[in-house]
Amino acid sequence: MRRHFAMILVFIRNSVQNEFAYRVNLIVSVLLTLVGMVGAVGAVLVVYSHASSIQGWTLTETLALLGLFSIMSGLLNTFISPNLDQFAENVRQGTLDFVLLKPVNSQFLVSFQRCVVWGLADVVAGAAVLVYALASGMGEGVGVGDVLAFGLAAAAGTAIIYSLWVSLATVAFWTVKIDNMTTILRAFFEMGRFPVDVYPLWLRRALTYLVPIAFVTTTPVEALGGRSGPVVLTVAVLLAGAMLYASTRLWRLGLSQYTSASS
Amino acid sequence: MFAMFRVFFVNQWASFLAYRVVFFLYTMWAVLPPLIYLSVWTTIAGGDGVAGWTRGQFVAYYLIFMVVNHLTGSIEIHTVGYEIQNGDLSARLLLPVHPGLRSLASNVGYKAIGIFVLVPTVLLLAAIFRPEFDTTAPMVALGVVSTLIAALLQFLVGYSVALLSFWITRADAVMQLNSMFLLLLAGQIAPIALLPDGLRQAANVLPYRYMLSLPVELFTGTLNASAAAAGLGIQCLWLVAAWFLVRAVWRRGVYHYSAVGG
Repeated sequence: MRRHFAMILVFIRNSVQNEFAYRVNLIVSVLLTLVGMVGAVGAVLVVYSHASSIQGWTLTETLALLGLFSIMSGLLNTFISPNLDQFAENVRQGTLDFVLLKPVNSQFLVSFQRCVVWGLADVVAGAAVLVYALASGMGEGVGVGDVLAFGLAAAAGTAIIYSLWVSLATVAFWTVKIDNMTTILRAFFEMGRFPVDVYPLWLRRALTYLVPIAFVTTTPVEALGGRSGPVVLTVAVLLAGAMLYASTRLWRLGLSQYTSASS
Repeated sequence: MFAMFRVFFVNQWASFLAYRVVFFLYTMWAVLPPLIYLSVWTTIAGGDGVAGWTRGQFVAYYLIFMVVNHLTGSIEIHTVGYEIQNGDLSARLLLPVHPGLRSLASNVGYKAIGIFVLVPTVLLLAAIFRPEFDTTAPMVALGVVSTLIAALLQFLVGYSVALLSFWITRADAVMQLNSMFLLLLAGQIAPIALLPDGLRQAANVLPYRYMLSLPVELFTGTLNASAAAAGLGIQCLWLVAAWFLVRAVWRRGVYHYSAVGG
């Protein structure tokens, strides 16, 4: 475990050094993050200029949720999607061999090898919006227990996102040409920028049971507001654990299919 | 010229057909983001409606929005931008026809192929959400015209931005910026009529409304005759402006171009 953690740090340092060769990208990414965040907050404000609460969600609660969505989106863009986009390419070209030759768990290596640090701008912007939402009303009555519950639910949400992406990327072992499969996943992920309660019942069910985005942003913010009980939290954690387990099983199954491309 | 366009179109169509699954997935990007705001607004409208809009009107607006979104969308940052970056443009420049014609055929081919998954999806959503239409035949006709102009306008703007790849490596970031404005000011997060005053006035002047939202407003019959005429007039002005923009960028870019690779 400690060895893996140390390796992640090395990967990050490596990526940072690589990325800093393209300094203009830093400015461009920060600019995009800022404009994107202004737009996202603007969208929520426009919606709430016509309603004081939507399905029991107040403006500050929805802003807190948007902040968490941006944090999750930043983590996804920094760590998860750069790696798994690369993975499909590796399978197609047979360069996955180099990963398999290393004396480390291959799923770990494929998932954390690189990172695009600019995605962290979204994490910072999201954290700022979350803190703002807490400071302007939502924070009242939030106790230590609620914050812990939020942390737990958010960690479960991150694990769910990771498992979803790994599972869908693993399909590349069978189909070889699937690099755009995560496109559809990302479109569903985008729905996490509003609480699932705003969606019609069938869509809410799909976002809970089929592509469980509900547990990524809605559940943690409900926990922060003291609205989701121990049952929901337990379900979230169990689901995250089950999905992590399933994704590793799927990975092993896929790996046994891998025959390399050419040599 | 039309014969050449046909050849390009058939060619592009065939190559896209080979990757149809991928293109069907991309089409979902024209559908799913508006579905978010369709849900939000129909939930707010509930039984009584909001700001003079009924629930069914929001449904009609966003379902048409999905179709127009697909029909007008620009893909040039991926096609043209990529050609410039990897040097494929060099071969295209040798043909006795402007490479833009091929890009236009590619654009039309992409949209034609998406229709096959878009129409069933929108019909399914219509059966679920039940839209309310209250429009007239002339407005629908104007909507068709406006959709064509909007598609051409987005193509020209997308092409100009893709041409920035002659000078910079992150033209895609400029395109991302463009789509953020499209999200906010082109009737996606809310119909233009529901935006706060300042934003609405800005939306009426800036090109974004005319790239996406105006045809939807015409189709749904939410504009009166004078507003429709004014909208189409401004849309044509932006089209002319975009034409001059793309010509200026193309000339400077091609002089600047020194092919990558061989």
